[in-house]
Amino acid sequence: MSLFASPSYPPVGYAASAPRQHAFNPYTDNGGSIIGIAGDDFLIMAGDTRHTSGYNINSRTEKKVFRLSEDSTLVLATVGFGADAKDIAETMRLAVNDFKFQHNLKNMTVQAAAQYLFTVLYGNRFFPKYAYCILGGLDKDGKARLYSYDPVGSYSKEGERRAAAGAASSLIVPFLDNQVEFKNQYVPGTNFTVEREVEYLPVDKVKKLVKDAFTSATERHIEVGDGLQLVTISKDGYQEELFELKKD
Amino acid sequence: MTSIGTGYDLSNSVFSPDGRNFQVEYATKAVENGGTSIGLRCKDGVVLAVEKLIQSKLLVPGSNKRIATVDRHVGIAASGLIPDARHFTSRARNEASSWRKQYHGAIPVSSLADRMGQYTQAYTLYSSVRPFGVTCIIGGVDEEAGPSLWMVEPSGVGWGYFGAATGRGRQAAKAELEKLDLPNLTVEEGVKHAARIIHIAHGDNAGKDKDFELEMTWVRVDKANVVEVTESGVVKGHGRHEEVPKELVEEAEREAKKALEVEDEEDEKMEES
Amino acid sequence: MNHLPEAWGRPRDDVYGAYDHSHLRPSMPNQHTQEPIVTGTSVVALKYNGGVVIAADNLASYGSLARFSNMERLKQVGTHTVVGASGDISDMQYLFDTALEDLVIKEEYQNDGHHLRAKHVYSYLSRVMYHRRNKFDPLWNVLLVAGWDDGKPFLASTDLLGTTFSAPALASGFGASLAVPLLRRVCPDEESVAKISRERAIEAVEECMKVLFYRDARSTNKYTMAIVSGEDNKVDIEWKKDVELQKQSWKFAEEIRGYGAQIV
Repeated sequence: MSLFASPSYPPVGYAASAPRQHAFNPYTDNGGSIIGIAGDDFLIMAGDTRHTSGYNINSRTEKKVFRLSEDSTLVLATVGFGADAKDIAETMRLAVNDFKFQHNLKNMTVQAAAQYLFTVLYGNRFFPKYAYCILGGLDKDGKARLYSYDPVGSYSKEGERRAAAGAASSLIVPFLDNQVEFKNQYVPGTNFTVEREVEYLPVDKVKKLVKDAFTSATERHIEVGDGLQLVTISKDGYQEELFELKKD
Repeated sequence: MTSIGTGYDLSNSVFSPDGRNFQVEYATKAVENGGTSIGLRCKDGVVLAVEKLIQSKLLVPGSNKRIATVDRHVGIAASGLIPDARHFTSRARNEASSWRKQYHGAIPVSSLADRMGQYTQAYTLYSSVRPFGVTCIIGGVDEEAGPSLWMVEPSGVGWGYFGAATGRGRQAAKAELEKLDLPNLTVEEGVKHAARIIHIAHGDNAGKDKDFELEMTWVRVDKANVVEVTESGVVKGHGRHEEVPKELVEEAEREAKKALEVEDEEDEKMEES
Repeated sequence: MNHLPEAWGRPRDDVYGAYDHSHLRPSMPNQHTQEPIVTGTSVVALKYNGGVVIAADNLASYGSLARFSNMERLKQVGTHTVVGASGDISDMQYLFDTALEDLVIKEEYQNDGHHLRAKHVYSYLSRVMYHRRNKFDPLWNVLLVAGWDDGKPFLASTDLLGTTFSAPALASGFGASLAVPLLRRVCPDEESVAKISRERAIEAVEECMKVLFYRDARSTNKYTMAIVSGEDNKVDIEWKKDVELQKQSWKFAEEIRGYGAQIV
């Protein structure tokens, strides 16, 4: 008899008699989405305020955008596994505060904070913090800088003009591609040959885009909704607005 | 001090030919220079009081507490070197905390005093350490013995008392404590006496022109935690160590001062006649 | 002789040889909690104008066996806070009887008139939970922290992963699916907390306990309720223990098809 003819199935009840392994899963996904958009001299950071576990809504009012100190322009948005996300925000907040005391009350530059966040995330390379981060702030010339990270810390030192992460990022990213980077937009009358040139958008236009992105994501994604936390950083400092999103 | 120069006091744990341990005796001297501490074991609780000498007018009134909470039901008042008292308290806290972890309950005051006695005694045995420069009064109320009061000295000796006194004013304080019917006093009565005794002890010794603050705590059993009241009125249960309310202390101090004035007047009359 | 205190009481090395430290080390790797054993079911809580109501039933289950029917799953911590625990009972007992007792006693050492308020207790608990999940040795619980904090009602949740969130109505376990929707009907958002009276909140939580008893097979009809109420910085905690579910009605059971004796 060949091996193929008599496949050896485990005896009935085998699965039940074997020691049951119930491995602890240290991660979960708490849903939600975040967006960051850099203007020339301002920055918009936003996130919805829904916090979920599976199909349950834990809270409608958990914020995802964190101000890293009262007197700097540094703002961090995190999404993914809520406990890791908040831990990173707290680690960064402490680091920014500590830096100030260690350096004669000078605030961390946004570039330094960006590199530090990389160190934090990559430091956990072998037990990653399961959170996607978007970090932003104004540099010494008052220009907006925006960085986005994967859970183990990869980021672009050049920064970016817009970033989105979280549950509905796949819905939001193409929208921002088109509306912020003007992807697939052509100059009228050129028969799709001349691409529309990228330019910085004014603040009210950016706010509109962010609100549209979230209302649309709320329509299509069950983990996004309830409230929108919209943060503006400019020469006038930090400003936070809250808007309603659909609660269904 | 005939012992000085004989060499037997230069190292800890060394006996002199007549069987004394001089380092321990010197530690006791350090205690005798400290502010007076007393403890009263009343029938329904324990009172601890210290004469806290004010080292500087720049200190915030009420700061630098000298009576420490060791566990919910135990407090320690100490006379002598303050840092040594801090270390002693810290050890007592660890003992109380580890007892809770191991036995899931509050440490009996006698067990705590016993352990602290052993710990203190270990510091008389080795030349690499010095004895504690403090005498500590450990007061508390537990479920087994009810109100308990223990005093641990630098030698490691620890005895249970109805009334305990240590520090520079201990002689006068002991004399006053002996006049009281402590087993039948209530804590409220104990507070009055404690205030009076600290004032007497303060007036009796060299530092009497120095200002002092009266610091007082008590350990009593909340109604809900009483497990037994014996025929003689002894309350047993898990006690709570806390500061004596400010109004009560102030009232007790007023009465104490009045009592002292009356005593002084009587003394003067005696002298005149 | 070694006079360093840490060597006190040890057998002399020169007589007995050096101490073999391997005796202290277990030969097997440490076992961490892989699943809860004896468990408690839902905890339910709701904020109202002037406080928080929190409740949990008194059952501890061993799988489907109703193992202990007098288990207290709510604990007062300090003067301002009540913590409720669902999930593993031994982990709950570690937190309640060892960790939180220790926290409160150590706070009393300071004797500075400061008391731990709900948010401090909550922060402590959530850090412990997150720390233990980082060690892959979780405390298998969902904890609700209810209290009075800074002149406002406080209610928040943390779990075995260290996840944290806060809402005016919270429930753990089955309650997250069965009780929260009922409570949200009474209190949909933070603004509506001001419109809810103490009586209304108690009534809503009682109703939830009833629904949970109807539908959760690991629940019982006896529960504890704590009402933390405050005014400015004065806090009062009322305890209702051994409460039996009132006015049960099993009429709805007749409508259920597919179980039991009925054929259609």
